[in-house]
Amino acid sequence: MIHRILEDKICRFCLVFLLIFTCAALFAPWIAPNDPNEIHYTARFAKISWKFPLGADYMGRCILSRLLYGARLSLGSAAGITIASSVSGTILGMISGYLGGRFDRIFMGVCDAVRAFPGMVIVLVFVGILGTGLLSLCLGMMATRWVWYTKVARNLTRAERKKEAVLASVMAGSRMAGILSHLIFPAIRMPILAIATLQFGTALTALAGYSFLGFGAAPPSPEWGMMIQDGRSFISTNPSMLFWPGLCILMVVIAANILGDRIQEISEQVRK
Amino acid sequence: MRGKEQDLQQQKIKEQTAKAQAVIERTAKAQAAKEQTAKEQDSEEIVCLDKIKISLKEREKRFCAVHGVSFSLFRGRTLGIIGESGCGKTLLCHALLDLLEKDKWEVEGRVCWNPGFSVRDVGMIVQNPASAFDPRMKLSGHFREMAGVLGLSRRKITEEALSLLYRTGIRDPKRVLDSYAFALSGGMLQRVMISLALLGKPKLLIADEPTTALDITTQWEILELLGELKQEYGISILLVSHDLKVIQSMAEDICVMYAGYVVEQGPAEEVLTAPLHPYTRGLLASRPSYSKTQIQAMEGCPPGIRDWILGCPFAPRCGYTRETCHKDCPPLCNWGKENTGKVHRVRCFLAGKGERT
Amino acid sequence: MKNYLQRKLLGMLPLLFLVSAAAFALVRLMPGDAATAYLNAMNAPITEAALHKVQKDLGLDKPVVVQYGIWLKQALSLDFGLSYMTKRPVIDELMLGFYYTAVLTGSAVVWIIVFSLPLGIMAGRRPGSFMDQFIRAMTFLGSSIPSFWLGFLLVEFFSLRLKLLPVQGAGTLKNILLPSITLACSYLAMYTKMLRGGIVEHSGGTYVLYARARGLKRRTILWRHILPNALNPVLTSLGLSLGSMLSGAVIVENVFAWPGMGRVIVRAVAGRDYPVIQGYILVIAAVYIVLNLGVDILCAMLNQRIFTEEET
Repeated sequence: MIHRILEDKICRFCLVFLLIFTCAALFAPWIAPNDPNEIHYTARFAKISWKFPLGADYMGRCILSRLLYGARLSLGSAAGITIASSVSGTILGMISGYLGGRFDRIFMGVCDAVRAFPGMVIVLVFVGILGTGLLSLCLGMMATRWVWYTKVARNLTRAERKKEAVLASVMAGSRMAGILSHLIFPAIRMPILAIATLQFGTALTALAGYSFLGFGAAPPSPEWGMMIQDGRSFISTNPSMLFWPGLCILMVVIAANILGDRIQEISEQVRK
Repeated sequence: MRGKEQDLQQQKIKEQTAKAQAVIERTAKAQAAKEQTAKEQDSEEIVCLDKIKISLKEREKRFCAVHGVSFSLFRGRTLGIIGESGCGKTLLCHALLDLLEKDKWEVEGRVCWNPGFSVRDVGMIVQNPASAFDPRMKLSGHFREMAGVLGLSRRKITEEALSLLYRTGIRDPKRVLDSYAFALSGGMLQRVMISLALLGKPKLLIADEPTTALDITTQWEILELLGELKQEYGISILLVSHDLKVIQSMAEDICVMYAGYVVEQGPAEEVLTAPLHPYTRGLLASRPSYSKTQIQAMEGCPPGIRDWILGCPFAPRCGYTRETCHKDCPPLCNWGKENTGKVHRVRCFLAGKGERT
Repeated sequence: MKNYLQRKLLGMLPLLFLVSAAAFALVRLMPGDAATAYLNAMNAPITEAALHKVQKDLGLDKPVVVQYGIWLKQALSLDFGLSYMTKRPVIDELMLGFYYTAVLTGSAVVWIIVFSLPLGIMAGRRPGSFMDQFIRAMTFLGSSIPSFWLGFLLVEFFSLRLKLLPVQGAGTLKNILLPSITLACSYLAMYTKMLRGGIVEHSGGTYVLYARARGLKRRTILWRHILPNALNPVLTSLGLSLGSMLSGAVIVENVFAWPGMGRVIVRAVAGRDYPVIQGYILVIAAVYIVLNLGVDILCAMLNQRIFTEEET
């Protein structure tokens, strides 16, 4: 399956794009021209120059450096949220779909109950209890997002379970863990991957949104959503402060959306 | 006394013979009149398809699905088109009604309607009756929306619909009109479709695989119904099927198609009793019957729309090929007796010469 | 139909209980003592006597279940107490905010319908054409843009450069234009895509071909047959989206300083105004649940077919 994704031109383009951002985030300490939190009073609102490749913000901090360090926070958190929720949600969904019966019904009821809450409410609960901060925000988001994967994984698992290969394996006495990992997971991983990719984009946007509202990282932190919040007061004089972080979010989300859509199409083609 | 009884008896006999004679005269007159009208209608051509070529458009490339098909439809006669799936029969029907999307299909050739006839005089029934109706609308809605097309009032349409439904064999037309398509069986829906087609009093009915989706008893009922309606309303039928027995039972003229080409064309009696093309022969030979112990099936399958064909399209499956068969595509030629009026055409270099290779 | 309704209504009750329990538990789970937090919020000195008084007032000395019972009783009569920050009844703040948020969400829905209908039809009529691909690309872009960023860009462009529309505030029709469009943008893509997909799918259906064979015009077929069938999933989806739109409105409200529930809750969380937070959670979750129920019923009414098949 993976090779089909890698063969597709559009997917390759998006993957490379995302890889560039990831590398920028990983190697930020070496790439960034300036310290992201260093204040240069004399250089407030500096224009694009060699010293400040994307200019400086209202406190004279280099925007590019902040973007690079912010990438670590934004992309890293979004990735963490997506991976954690997809892994847990998929495993739970597979188990539920495989076991069926009462367990499945009760578990689905629990999922429906969780889904009944708007995501914002759960995040607010977490943030309210644990206090504002990137970690509590991530935990809150993880708590809402796992349900998406569970439903899909469960439905797909139920369909797969009826196939003969699985029945044969059960009769031969394989244990559940083995069946799930070797037989069922390979069949369902493509649609799950598609959803996870799309969810990465939404997680990033939502994360930035919450940070923008003040629920996430604390002020000096260069998280992209925070940067937009910082820049909002200076929108008329210096739009570049909030332009660049928003553009970064936009580009990553577009790449993730295109990639996710393509993976979904490929997985549907493979099914047929 | 004896004399009177004898007189009465003789009178009775006279009356009976007179009655019988009258009946005989009447039937003879009716027969003559029928033949007369049949002859008159016989020669009336409704529409003529002239070298219709239908190609699939894919950006700049063209994939030909139907190659130069010509035939005519006459009043009161049934033309049966027979061929395997994918030979282009349905495309032809759609081209006749001008239903093909201009963006996807390119249609060359002409469809000539004789004066007095047009596309409006055509009704159509499709293969799968279950999917032929809008799932959200009741069947009555389908009839009512024809009111605008036909220019009749809704009440009139409902009356017509009820009577037509009854005529096509539905015993409780009111209930049927009031239900949704998913609630009725295939046979009933097919009858509803026929009624809907007859609503516009068509002179030509295109039946595209009308029986394929039905079980066998319903198939015969529908075919019988079509035959009755044909007699009663004087409709011509263009019957398309891949089932030989359906064509056999109803068609007066037959057109055999293969891979988008017409390979044999002519009156039913001739085509069915003395087939000229190896494909037709194969089709007839593969019919199951009580006298056969083995069914001779034809191996292989027809070429697809994107396959490049060199020579005769049937050559790969034909048991009678010569060298020329693989190089050139045979033209459609007339065969023999032209003075009988109905022409028998065949597309084969070896027509009539039946030696297997 | 009746059975269906009854089942759904019954299913709602346990959910509502769960929600209320969660809202109640919120304060009890706070780090630190609730009484101390209250005194802090009131800016009152923390003395033994004050603590005792507050504990009695808030009923903190009673067992938890009893406290929950009292709170629930009050909540049912829509009394959530007073806001720590504004000292006004919580319910008033929430209701005012709800009104504004509802207006915003309603206008966003209007925009979605107004735009996605023609765009979806134009794209679906000729799939694969330039128009189709262009529309898809545009809506895709719209769905990927973070709403707050878009909001600011719009403000920058329309309010500050062109001076056409006001920057903030509520009250006139002009005020609502930008916020509602911003909110609608992200959902526009989804619905245009759905509508387009539905139109393409149904256009290829046999019954459309058959209708054309019967002589019906293309336009009649589009409006009377294809659209109602294609709109079906769109409408149910729209209903479900309403719930998430209520949350998404929070961000937009903050960008445009729209006095809706979003602004209320953000201020409350920042200021640890627990009564407001509790009330908000309960109200929003209840609205969400009721909305989903309404959508389920609507969906069932539109798809009568599912009903009759269920019953037989």
